[in-house]
Amino acid sequence: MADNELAPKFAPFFGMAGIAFAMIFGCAGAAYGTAKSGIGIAGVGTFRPDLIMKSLIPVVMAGIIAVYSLVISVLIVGDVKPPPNTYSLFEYVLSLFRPFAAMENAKDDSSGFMHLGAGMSVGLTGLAAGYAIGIVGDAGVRSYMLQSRIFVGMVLILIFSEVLGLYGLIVALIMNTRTN
Amino acid sequence: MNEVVWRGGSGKTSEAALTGPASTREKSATRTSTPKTSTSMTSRIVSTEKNLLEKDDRDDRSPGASEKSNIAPAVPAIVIYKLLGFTLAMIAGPIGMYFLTLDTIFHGNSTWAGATAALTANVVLIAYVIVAMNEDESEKREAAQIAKKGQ
Repeated sequence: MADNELAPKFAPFFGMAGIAFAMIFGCAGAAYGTAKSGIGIAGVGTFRPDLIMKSLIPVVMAGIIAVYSLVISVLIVGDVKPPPNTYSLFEYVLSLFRPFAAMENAKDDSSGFMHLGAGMSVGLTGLAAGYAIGIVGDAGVRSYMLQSRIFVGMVLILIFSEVLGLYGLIVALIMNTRTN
Repeated sequence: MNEVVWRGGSGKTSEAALTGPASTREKSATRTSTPKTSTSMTSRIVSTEKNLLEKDDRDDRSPGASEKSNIAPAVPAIVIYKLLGFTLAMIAGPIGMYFLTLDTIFHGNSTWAGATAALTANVVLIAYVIVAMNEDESEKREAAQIAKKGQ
């Protein structure tokens, strides 16, 4: 495999770093959201057990953050292939450097920096969204115990927190599209 | 005599000790009911006395020891099935939809398959919110029915 500027041997490192970023940060956010709102639910459940079912919504939302990270990780994993496929850092033009690539059945549709960016995008927005969901979930369910009208507002705030992670997912999906 | 010493030398008779703070409980009630008619304060029915090991089970020390605990689930089974269903949907739904639609609908375009997976996760969330709201309403209806019956 020819070593050149745009497809060095360490290029797959960045793709795998993207996978790790997506899962680590996304799951950190989801874990914080689940744990923090879980504390609130445990506090509410001792006084008003009938509200537990509705109070579990922040936990479900935090779970979705992890699903976003999972989706992006699976997408990147599908693109990181061993040789004879080339894995470039960015926009590696196959025909220019490897005229016989088609005969080797090699595909050139990956770029490490894009995958790193996609993973960080979904991972760090997931961290932000999970943090917001945790705090809003904790305070929200405690308030809901005392005032039932809070519920709609709480769900709305949770949705807006959740959308932060969704934005990261959309950007990551677009970045992933650019690689192939 | 042994018993009196064991209770810290307080000088109580066993009769008084047995009808202690837990005298309303079933055990001690049956024990004390028989001698009341025929005995004075000092006489005892030896067979009903407990040995040292059994005294650990005294009602005033562990009030629930003689009763059967209620270990039936506090949450109705339907709620548990609902939660299990949503858990399963959350685990298997999105990633399953990704691999299902990847080759069948989107012909290898992983971006759309990924978007479908994210959409599926949100569908599960919306379904959960709807189910949670409905449960609240059904509980209200049940409460109203019980109130009607009570009148």
